[in-house]
Amino acid sequence: MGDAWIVTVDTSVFEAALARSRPGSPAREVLARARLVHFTPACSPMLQAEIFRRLRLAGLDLDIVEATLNELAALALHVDVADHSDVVVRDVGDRFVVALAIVSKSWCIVSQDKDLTERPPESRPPGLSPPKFLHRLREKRGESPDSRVS
Amino acid sequence: MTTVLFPELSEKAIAALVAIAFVSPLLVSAAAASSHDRNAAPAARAAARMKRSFESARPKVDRFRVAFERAGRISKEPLMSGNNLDDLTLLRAATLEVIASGPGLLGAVDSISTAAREAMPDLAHPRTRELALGLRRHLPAIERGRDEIGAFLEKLDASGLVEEIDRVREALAEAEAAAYLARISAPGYNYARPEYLKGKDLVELVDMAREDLIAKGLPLPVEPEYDDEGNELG
Repeated sequence: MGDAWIVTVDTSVFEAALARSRPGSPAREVLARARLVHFTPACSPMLQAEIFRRLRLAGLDLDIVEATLNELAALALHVDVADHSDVVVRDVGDRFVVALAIVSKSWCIVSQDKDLTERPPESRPPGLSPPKFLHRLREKRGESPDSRVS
Repeated sequence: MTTVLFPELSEKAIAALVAIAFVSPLLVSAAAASSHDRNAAPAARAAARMKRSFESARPKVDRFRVAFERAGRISKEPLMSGNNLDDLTLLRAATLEVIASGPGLLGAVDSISTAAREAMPDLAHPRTRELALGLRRHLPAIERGRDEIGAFLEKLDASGLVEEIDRVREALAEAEAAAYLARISAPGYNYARPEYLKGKDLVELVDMAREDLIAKGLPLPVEPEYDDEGNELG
Protein backbone atom coordinates (compact mmCIF):
# COMPACT_ATOMS: atom_id res chain seq x y z
CA MET A 1 0.00 0.00 0.00
CA GLY A 2 2.73 2.45 1.01
CA ASP A 3 4.70 1.96 -2.19
CA ALA A 4 2.16 3.92 -4.21
CA TRP A 5 2.44 6.90 -1.87
CA ILE A 6 5.73 8.50 -2.59
CA VAL A 7 6.53 11.54 -0.49
CA THR A 8 9.51 13.88 -0.51
CA VAL A 9 10.47 14.56 3.08
CA ASP A 10 12.53 17.75 3.22
CA THR A 11 15.74 18.14 5.23
CA SER A 12 13.99 20.43 7.70
CA VAL A 13 11.78 17.55 8.88
CA PHE A 14 14.81 15.37 9.59
CA GLU A 15 16.48 18.24 11.40
CA ALA A 16 13.35 18.89 13.44
CA ALA A 17 12.87 15.22 14.29
CA LEU A 18 16.46 14.46 15.23
CA ALA A 19 17.82 17.72 16.59
CA ARG A 20 14.82 19.64 17.84
CA SER A 21 11.69 17.66 18.43
CA ARG A 22 10.04 16.61 21.62
CA PRO A 23 8.70 13.06 21.87
CA GLY A 24 5.36 12.84 20.07
CA SER A 25 6.09 15.77 17.76
CA PRO A 26 4.70 15.81 14.21
CA ALA A 27 8.18 15.64 12.60
CA ARG A 28 8.99 12.56 14.65
CA GLU A 29 5.69 10.96 13.68
CA VAL A 30 6.46 11.56 9.99
CA LEU A 31 9.62 9.47 10.35
CA ALA A 32 7.82 6.86 12.47
CA ARG A 33 5.25 6.44 9.68
CA ALA A 34 8.01 6.15 7.08
CA ARG A 35 9.47 3.32 9.14
CA LEU A 36 6.06 1.58 9.16
CA VAL A 37 5.87 2.04 5.37
CA HIS A 38 2.74 4.17 5.57
CA PHE A 39 4.38 6.00 2.68
CA THR A 40 7.62 5.75 0.73
CA PRO A 41 10.12 8.58 1.11
CA ALA A 42 11.82 9.74 -2.04
CA CYS A 43 15.55 10.04 -1.80
CA SER A 44 18.45 11.36 -3.85
CA PRO A 45 22.17 11.58 -3.08
CA MET A 46 21.82 15.38 -2.88
CA LEU A 47 19.04 15.11 -0.33
CA GLN A 48 21.07 12.64 1.73
CA ALA A 49 24.13 14.91 1.62
CA GLU A 50 22.09 17.95 2.67
CA ILE A 51 20.47 16.07 5.55
CA PHE A 52 23.96 14.94 6.55
CA ARG A 53 25.26 18.54 6.50
CA ARG A 54 22.42 19.94 8.55
CA LEU A 55 22.44 17.22 11.18
CA ARG A 56 26.20 17.52 11.60
CA LEU A 57 25.87 21.29 12.00
CA ALA A 58 23.25 20.67 14.69
CA GLY A 59 25.95 18.77 16.60
CA LEU A 60 24.82 15.20 16.04
CA ASP A 61 27.26 12.35 16.28
CA LEU A 62 28.65 11.22 12.92
CA ASP A 63 27.72 7.56 13.48
CA ILE A 64 24.11 8.42 14.33
CA VAL A 65 23.80 10.68 11.29
CA GLU A 66 25.15 8.01 8.95
CA ALA A 67 23.00 5.29 10.52
CA THR A 68 19.90 7.47 10.12
CA LEU A 69 20.69 8.05 6.48
CA ASN A 70 21.29 4.32 6.02
CA GLU A 71 17.81 3.68 7.42
CA LEU A 72 16.33 6.30 5.10
CA ALA A 73 18.14 4.73 2.16
CA ALA A 74 16.74 1.30 3.06
CA LEU A 75 13.15 2.61 3.11
CA ALA A 76 13.33 5.03 0.19
CA LEU A 77 12.67 5.16 -3.49
CA HIS A 78 16.01 6.27 -4.94
CA VAL A 79 15.96 8.86 -7.67
CA ASP A 80 18.97 10.61 -9.07
CA VAL A 81 18.11 14.09 -10.24
CA ALA A 82 20.91 15.09 -12.56
CA ASP A 83 19.76 18.58 -13.48
CA HIS A 84 17.41 20.80 -11.54
CA SER A 85 18.45 24.20 -12.85
CA ASP A 86 15.07 24.90 -14.47
CA VAL A 87 13.01 24.35 -11.30
CA VAL A 88 11.39 27.59 -10.13
CA VAL A 89 11.53 28.14 -6.36
CA ARG A 90 11.74 31.10 -4.02
CA ASP A 91 15.01 29.88 -2.49
CA VAL A 92 17.45 28.31 -4.97
CA GLY A 93 18.69 26.12 -2.13
CA ASP A 94 15.34 24.28 -2.31
CA ARG A 95 15.65 23.44 -6.00
CA PHE A 96 16.96 19.94 -5.48
CA VAL A 97 14.08 19.14 -3.10
CA VAL A 98 11.38 20.26 -5.54
CA ALA A 99 13.19 18.57 -8.44
CA LEU A 100 13.31 15.32 -6.47
CA ALA A 101 9.59 15.61 -5.72
CA ILE A 102 8.78 16.17 -9.41
CA VAL A 103 11.01 13.41 -10.78
CA SER A 104 9.90 10.88 -8.15
CA LYS A 105 6.24 11.80 -8.80
CA SER A 106 5.81 12.52 -5.12
CA TRP A 107 2.32 13.10 -3.82
CA CYS A 108 3.62 16.03 -1.73
CA ILE A 109 6.65 17.62 -0.10
CA VAL A 110 6.67 17.56 3.71
CA SER A 111 8.62 20.47 5.09
CA GLN A 112 8.94 22.93 7.94
CA ASP A 113 10.32 25.51 5.54
CA LYS A 114 7.73 28.13 4.61
CA ASP A 115 9.42 28.64 1.24
CA LEU A 116 8.21 25.13 0.44
CA THR A 117 4.91 24.98 2.33
CA GLU A 118 3.71 28.40 1.17
CA ARG A 119 4.37 27.98 -2.54
CA PRO A 120 1.62 29.18 -4.92
CA PRO A 121 -1.49 26.96 -4.78
CA GLU A 122 -0.98 25.73 -8.33
CA SER A 123 2.51 24.40 -7.48
CA ARG A 124 2.87 20.67 -7.86
CA PRO A 125 3.49 18.71 -5.81
CA PRO A 126 2.12 20.75 -2.92
CA GLY A 127 4.20 21.51 0.16
CA LEU A 128 2.65 20.48 3.49
CA SER A 129 3.75 21.09 7.06
CA PRO A 130 4.20 17.89 9.11
CA PRO A 131 0.79 18.22 10.88
CA LYS A 132 -1.01 18.91 7.60
CA PHE A 133 0.74 15.98 5.96
CA LEU A 134 -0.18 13.67 8.85
CA HIS A 135 -3.79 14.83 8.68
CA ARG A 136 -3.94 14.05 4.95
CA LEU A 137 -2.14 10.74 5.41
CA ARG A 138 -4.62 9.64 8.11
CA GLU A 139 -7.48 10.53 5.77
CA LYS A 140 -5.92 8.59 2.90
CA ARG A 141 -5.36 5.58 5.13
CA GLY A 142 -8.86 5.77 6.59
CA GLU A 143 -7.52 6.32 10.08
CA SER A 144 -9.25 8.27 12.80
CA PRO A 145 -8.11 11.93 12.90
CA ASP A 146 -6.82 11.31 16.43
CA SER A 147 -4.68 8.29 15.64
CA ARG A 148 -1.00 8.67 16.49
CA VAL A 149 2.06 6.60 15.70
CA SER A 150 5.25 6.83 17.69
CA MET B 1 43.59 25.83 8.36
CA THR B 2 41.94 28.35 10.65
CA THR B 3 42.46 27.98 14.37
CA VAL B 4 39.73 29.23 16.67
CA LEU B 5 40.77 29.98 20.23
CA PHE B 6 38.70 31.11 23.14
CA PRO B 7 40.11 34.30 24.76
CA GLU B 8 41.83 33.96 28.09
CA LEU B 9 40.81 35.47 31.40
CA SER B 10 43.40 36.15 34.09
CA GLU B 11 43.79 33.86 37.06
CA LYS B 12 42.87 36.75 39.34
CA ALA B 13 39.49 37.18 37.69
CA ILE B 14 38.83 33.47 37.96
CA ALA B 15 39.94 33.57 41.60
CA ALA B 16 37.38 36.31 42.18
CA LEU B 17 34.66 34.03 40.87
CA VAL B 18 35.86 31.22 43.10
CA ALA B 19 35.88 33.61 46.05
CA ILE B 20 32.25 34.52 45.46
CA ALA B 21 31.26 30.90 45.15
CA PHE B 22 33.29 30.03 48.27
CA VAL B 23 32.27 32.81 50.63
CA SER B 24 28.64 33.03 49.59
CA PRO B 25 27.35 29.98 51.52
CA LEU B 26 29.15 31.18 54.67
CA LEU B 27 27.74 34.64 54.29
CA VAL B 28 24.29 33.34 53.56
CA SER B 29 24.20 31.31 56.75
CA ALA B 30 25.72 34.10 58.82
CA ALA B 31 23.42 36.70 57.33
CA ALA B 32 20.49 34.44 58.02
CA ALA B 33 21.54 34.21 61.67
CA SER B 34 21.84 37.97 61.88
CA SER B 35 18.53 38.57 60.18
CA HIS B 36 16.88 36.75 63.08
CA ASP B 37 18.37 39.16 65.55
CA ARG B 38 15.22 41.02 66.63
CA ASN B 39 17.18 43.53 68.65
CA ALA B 40 18.95 44.94 65.65
CA ALA B 41 16.32 45.65 63.04
CA PRO B 42 18.46 47.79 60.66
CA ALA B 43 21.26 45.26 60.82
CA ALA B 44 18.78 42.46 60.29
CA ARG B 45 17.44 44.16 57.18
CA ALA B 46 20.96 44.77 55.88
CA ALA B 47 21.88 41.17 56.56
CA ALA B 48 18.75 39.97 54.81
CA ARG B 49 19.70 42.04 51.77
CA MET B 50 23.17 40.54 51.79
CA LYS B 51 21.70 37.06 52.14
CA ARG B 52 19.43 37.63 49.14
CA SER B 53 22.24 39.02 47.01
CA PHE B 54 24.50 36.07 47.75
CA GLU B 55 21.78 33.51 47.25
CA SER B 56 20.99 35.02 43.91
CA ALA B 57 24.67 35.37 42.93
CA ARG B 58 25.74 31.80 43.47
CA PRO B 59 23.92 30.15 40.53
CA LYS B 60 24.85 33.04 38.25
CA VAL B 61 28.51 32.76 39.16
CA ASP B 62 28.43 28.99 38.78
CA ARG B 63 26.69 29.20 35.41
CA PHE B 64 29.31 31.59 34.05
CA ARG B 65 32.24 29.72 35.56
CA VAL B 66 31.16 26.30 34.27
CA ALA B 67 30.59 27.65 30.74
CA PHE B 68 33.85 29.60 30.79
CA GLU B 69 35.89 26.62 31.95
CA ARG B 70 34.18 24.39 29.42
CA ALA B 71 34.90 26.77 26.55
CA GLY B 72 38.51 27.17 27.63
CA ARG B 73 38.97 23.42 27.95
CA ILE B 74 37.43 22.65 24.56
CA SER B 75 39.43 25.33 22.77
CA LYS B 76 42.77 24.02 23.94
CA GLU B 77 44.32 20.93 22.41
CA PRO B 78 41.90 19.55 19.83
CA LEU B 79 41.54 22.90 18.12
CA MET B 80 45.24 23.64 18.24
CA SER B 81 45.90 20.47 16.29
CA GLY B 82 43.24 21.09 13.68
CA ASN B 83 39.64 22.13 13.73
CA ASN B 84 37.05 19.52 14.35
CA LEU B 85 33.37 20.07 13.70
CA ASP B 86 32.22 18.36 16.90
CA ASP B 87 34.61 20.36 19.10
CA LEU B 88 33.65 23.59 17.40
CA THR B 89 29.96 22.89 17.94
CA LEU B 90 30.60 22.35 21.65
CA LEU B 91 32.77 25.47 21.78
CA ARG B 92 30.04 27.49 20.11
CA ALA B 93 27.45 26.37 22.67
CA ALA B 94 29.80 27.08 25.59
CA THR B 95 30.69 30.51 24.19
CA LEU B 96 27.04 31.43 23.78
CA GLU B 97 26.44 30.31 27.35
CA VAL B 98 29.33 32.50 28.58
CA ILE B 99 27.89 35.47 26.70
CA ALA B 100 24.37 34.77 27.97
CA SER B 101 25.44 34.32 31.58
CA GLY B 102 27.77 37.37 31.64
CA PRO B 103 25.25 40.14 32.40
CA GLY B 104 23.69 38.08 35.21
CA LEU B 105 27.10 37.54 36.74
CA LEU B 106 28.06 41.22 36.61
CA GLY B 107 24.74 42.26 38.09
CA ALA B 108 25.14 39.72 40.88
CA VAL B 109 28.62 40.98 41.78
CA ASP B 110 27.36 44.57 41.84
CA SER B 111 24.54 43.55 44.09
CA ILE B 112 26.94 41.75 46.45
CA SER B 113 29.22 44.77 46.62
CA THR B 114 26.37 47.12 47.44
CA ALA B 115 24.76 44.83 49.99
CA ALA B 116 28.05 44.02 51.69
CA ARG B 117 29.12 47.69 51.97
CA GLU B 118 25.73 48.69 53.36
CA ALA B 119 25.60 45.81 55.78
CA MET B 120 29.03 45.91 57.32
CA PRO B 121 28.76 48.84 59.72
CA ASP B 122 25.41 47.66 61.07
CA LEU B 123 25.99 43.99 61.61
CA ALA B 124 25.35 43.17 65.23
CA HIS B 125 25.80 39.44 65.26
CA PRO B 126 29.47 38.74 66.07
CA ARG B 127 29.81 35.82 63.68
CA THR B 128 28.23 37.83 60.85
CA ARG B 129 30.42 40.80 61.57
CA GLU B 130 33.50 38.60 61.50
CA LEU B 131 32.53 37.16 58.12
CA ALA B 132 31.57 40.52 56.75
CA LEU B 133 34.97 41.89 57.71
CA GLY B 134 36.50 38.91 55.97
CA LEU B 135 34.44 39.74 52.92
CA ARG B 136 35.63 43.34 53.08
CA ARG B 137 39.15 42.06 52.56
CA HIS B 138 37.98 40.05 49.51
CA LEU B 139 35.83 42.80 48.04
CA PRO B 140 38.55 44.74 46.20
CA ALA B 141 39.71 41.57 44.46
CA ILE B 142 36.13 40.60 43.66
CA GLU B 143 35.44 44.04 42.23
CA ARG B 144 38.62 44.05 40.18
CA GLY B 145 37.64 40.61 38.92
CA ARG B 146 34.22 41.98 38.03
CA ASP B 147 35.79 44.79 35.99
CA GLU B 148 38.07 42.38 34.21
CA ILE B 149 35.22 40.02 33.44
CA GLY B 150 33.19 42.97 32.13
CA ALA B 151 36.06 43.93 29.82
CA PHE B 152 36.46 40.29 28.78
CA LEU B 153 32.78 40.04 27.84
CA GLU B 154 33.00 43.23 25.79
CA LYS B 155 36.10 41.88 24.06
CA LEU B 156 34.41 38.54 23.43
CA ASP B 157 31.38 40.29 21.96
CA ALA B 158 33.50 42.51 19.72
CA SER B 159 35.81 39.69 18.65
CA GLY B 160 33.16 38.06 16.46
CA LEU B 161 34.26 34.69 17.82
CA VAL B 162 30.84 33.07 17.41
CA GLU B 163 30.62 34.26 13.80
CA GLU B 164 34.14 32.96 13.18
CA ILE B 165 33.26 29.61 14.72
CA ASP B 166 30.13 29.46 12.54
CA ARG B 167 32.11 30.27 9.42
CA VAL B 168 34.57 27.46 10.12
CA ARG B 169 31.77 25.06 11.10
CA GLU B 170 29.91 25.74 7.84
CA ALA B 171 33.06 25.07 5.85
CA LEU B 172 33.79 21.86 7.74
CA ALA B 173 30.21 20.62 7.41
CA GLU B 174 30.29 21.37 3.66
CA ALA B 175 33.50 19.39 3.32
CA GLU B 176 32.15 16.46 5.35
CA ALA B 177 28.92 16.43 3.33
CA ALA B 178 30.85 16.53 0.04
CA ALA B 179 32.95 13.59 1.17
CA TYR B 180 29.79 11.73 2.24
CA LEU B 181 28.15 12.44 -1.14
CA ALA B 182 31.21 11.07 -2.91
CA ARG B 183 31.14 7.93 -0.77
CA ILE B 184 27.46 7.12 -1.28
CA SER B 185 27.70 7.90 -4.99
CA ALA B 186 30.52 5.42 -5.48
CA PRO B 187 29.47 2.02 -6.87
CA GLY B 188 29.09 -0.66 -4.21
CA TYR B 189 28.85 1.75 -1.27
CA ASN B 190 28.54 -0.28 1.90
CA TYR B 191 25.83 0.94 4.28
CA ALA B 192 27.55 -0.75 7.24
CA ARG B 193 27.28 0.83 10.69
CA PRO B 194 29.08 0.49 14.02
CA GLU B 195 28.15 -2.43 16.26
CA TYR B 196 26.30 -0.28 18.84
CA LEU B 197 23.98 1.06 16.16
CA LYS B 198 23.26 -2.23 14.43
CA GLY B 199 19.58 -3.14 14.37
CA LYS B 200 18.42 0.37 15.37
CA ASP B 201 15.47 1.55 13.34
CA LEU B 202 14.69 5.11 12.30
CA VAL B 203 12.66 5.96 15.40
CA GLU B 204 15.24 4.49 17.77
CA LEU B 205 17.89 6.56 16.02
CA VAL B 206 15.76 9.70 16.42
CA ASP B 207 15.63 9.02 20.17
CA MET B 208 19.38 8.35 20.29
CA ALA B 209 20.02 11.62 18.47
CA ARG B 210 18.05 13.54 21.05
CA GLU B 211 19.91 11.82 23.88
CA ASP B 212 23.21 12.53 22.13
CA LEU B 213 22.51 16.26 22.04
CA ILE B 214 21.34 16.35 25.64
CA ALA B 215 24.45 14.42 26.77
CA LYS B 216 26.66 16.95 24.99
CA GLY B 217 24.83 19.84 26.65
CA LEU B 218 23.86 21.27 23.28
CA PRO B 219 20.78 23.41 22.93
CA LEU B 220 17.65 21.57 21.89
CA PRO B 221 15.34 24.14 20.32
CA VAL B 222 11.73 23.08 20.28
CA GLU B 223 9.74 22.45 17.17
CA PRO B 224 7.15 25.04 16.23
CA GLU B 225 3.68 24.67 17.69
CA TYR B 226 0.80 24.13 15.28
CA ASP B 227 -2.92 24.82 15.48
CA ASP B 228 -5.57 22.18 14.74
CA GLU B 229 -5.41 22.99 11.03
CA GLY B 230 -1.67 22.31 10.97
CA ASN B 231 -0.73 25.98 10.65
CA GLU B 232 2.32 27.13 12.52
CA LEU B 233 1.54 29.28 15.53
CA GLY B 234 3.42 32.45 16.42
